[in-house]
Amino acid sequence: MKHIVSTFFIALFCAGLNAQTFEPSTLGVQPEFGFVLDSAFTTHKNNGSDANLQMAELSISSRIDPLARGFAIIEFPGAHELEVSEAVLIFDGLGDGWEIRAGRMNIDLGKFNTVHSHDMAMPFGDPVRLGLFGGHLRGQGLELHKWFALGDAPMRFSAGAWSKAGAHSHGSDGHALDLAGEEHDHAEVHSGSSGKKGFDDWAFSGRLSSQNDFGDNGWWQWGVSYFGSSGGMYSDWSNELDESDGQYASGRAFGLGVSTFGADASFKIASLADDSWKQFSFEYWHHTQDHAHAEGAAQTFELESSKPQGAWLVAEHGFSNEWSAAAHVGWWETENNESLKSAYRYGVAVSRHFSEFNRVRFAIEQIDEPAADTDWLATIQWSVFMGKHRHGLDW
Amino acid sequence: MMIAGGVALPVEPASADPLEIIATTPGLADVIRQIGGDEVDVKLLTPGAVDPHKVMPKASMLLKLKRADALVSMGLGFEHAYLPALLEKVGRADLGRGATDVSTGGSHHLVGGDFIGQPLEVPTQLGRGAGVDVHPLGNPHWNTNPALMQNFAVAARDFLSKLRPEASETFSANWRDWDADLTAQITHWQTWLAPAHGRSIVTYHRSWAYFADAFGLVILGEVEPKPGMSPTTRHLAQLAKSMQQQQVKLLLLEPWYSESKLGNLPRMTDVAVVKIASMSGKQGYLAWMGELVAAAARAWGLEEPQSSPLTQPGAQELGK
Repeated sequence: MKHIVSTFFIALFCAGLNAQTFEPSTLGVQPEFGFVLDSAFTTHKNNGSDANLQMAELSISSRIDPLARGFAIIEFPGAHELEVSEAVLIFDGLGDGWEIRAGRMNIDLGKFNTVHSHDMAMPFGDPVRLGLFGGHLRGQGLELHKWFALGDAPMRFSAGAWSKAGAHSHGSDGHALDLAGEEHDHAEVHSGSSGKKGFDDWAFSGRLSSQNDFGDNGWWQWGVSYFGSSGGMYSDWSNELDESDGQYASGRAFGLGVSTFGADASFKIASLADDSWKQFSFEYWHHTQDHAHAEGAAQTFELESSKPQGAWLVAEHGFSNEWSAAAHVGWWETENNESLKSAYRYGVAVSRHFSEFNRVRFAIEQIDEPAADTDWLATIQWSVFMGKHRHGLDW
Repeated sequence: MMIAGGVALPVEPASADPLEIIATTPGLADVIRQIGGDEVDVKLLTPGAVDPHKVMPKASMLLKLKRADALVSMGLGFEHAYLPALLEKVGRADLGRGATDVSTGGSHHLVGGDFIGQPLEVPTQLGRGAGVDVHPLGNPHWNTNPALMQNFAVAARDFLSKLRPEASETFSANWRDWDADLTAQITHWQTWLAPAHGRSIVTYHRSWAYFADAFGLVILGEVEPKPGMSPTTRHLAQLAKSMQQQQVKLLLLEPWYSESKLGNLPRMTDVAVVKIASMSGKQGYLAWMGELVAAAARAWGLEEPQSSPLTQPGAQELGK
């Protein structure tokens, strides 16, 4: 940890020194703005309809100097909500494939954690990530990236250290878990068992991946990922009595651990003869998480650990610039009556791309969760992209 | 020179490995090979003569760029789909940075668009209504004017000489030979297409402005209503009417665009649809340009001049 922190400060220091030697013309900050409007009308067989502005997102990005660039994404998930979901300074001028990212960002974990929901193949993104973690994992901290060659195979790894991290979702189905001290109300004292944060309360992440050519204009990729914290998670607990009962007890348990291992494989190929393309991705997760549990009239909690798994298979085919279709199957285990039971979500979606900036999508999905009737879901989603909407190297 | 016992002994210079040059199009690669000869090993970054908008940036490209001695690109945003993202990641100051949609050159990055003078079709205003494939710096398809490729060849000669000064004589000699061939061909092509001077053509995408400029042709319009957008029935009907009025005989269509998108346009107008890439492929730049001129000439029924192109009088200077 000390090494990571010292590396970061050395990089900052060097960036400051070098910045003084740049030509003034290279220092101009020229921000690019982008805007995404993502709305959905959903009708559930069991839960009625929901016409929802899923997300409005404003992005600002700019190169700051030859050594660094930055971006920020502001989300408007509701009428009275505004959230700086990501604010990142990227030191990408370190050379030799090194890069340091600092700030608040989606953690480099699996294939899709850094992919924003409006860029996913299905309207509500990855159901397994939602089911296991509560959404995309987002953290506040540092992430070190490096790409290199192993023979002729391009490789990439990242290692992250997170003072705060948590699952994040604006989907109506999200039930967020808070990891390593994330607090939605911005309180600072909930992350450590004594209200002060130690390194046990930090979360750490890592990813190793490789992308190789597949055909003339395609790639295949594999990746393995880890996220964990030895004691940074907390959860609220209560015993099984009614609140009005004199023996009722509840509280917040700290020092809970979590670890997640993931493996993913993907390929994408785009035709050079026409506008068709196809992408296929598979992600598998093994998640271990401590829970605070108070049996009966117990006045304090006991720690229990669950080890749910999950896997997501998603395929997308672009027929032309105008039409694409996607199908997905998600399976994950969820706690039910103190045991793990399987949950599924699968469906298909058809998208009409009126232009690069305007897309309408129709999706039908089935959701099977333990202790609930099978639910059907039909969604019409309209997404508008304005201004810069950048996608870099996808690996 | 090696000094031994105070006596200078001449030694054979070690034969250096060829310069590894990465080019973004087969045409640029061909010119660099012609000038560089055995001193260069030119590799393509992309799959070949393909729609540049469809090229995906891949990790393998990062490796190519990392290991290369130099990079040669078209510039003006021609490679905007993949090169800026790659340059931003590869982090080589000598290859330049990937800016927003374009790449900026470095000491080991030759950007062809820097040597063509004033680019054509520089938009006066930018907006989302202008289409998808809009190039803020101007039309990047300058390679369709052979005179501009001549300009590029001069820059390539100087670029290679700077990278390997000891081989500059070789580069100059190779360039002289290649330039003489191209000059002769340009004269021949100009003579061949001279009767078509002032005639209108239609293109699918806005890729042929420099070709038209070089041979005095007029582009009546594009099948795409806006760059990157598929034609509507209404647009095709309007275009067909204009083509009939102007008696357009030639429609240039790159093979990566579907002929089906032309609808009834060929039948309504009796136009010759010439399917040809807007860049050379494996055949090399001169052969490709020759095929392009021959295909255009056939559309107007123009016979190939029999006299030697080098002695053909009245050939016009291509606009540089």
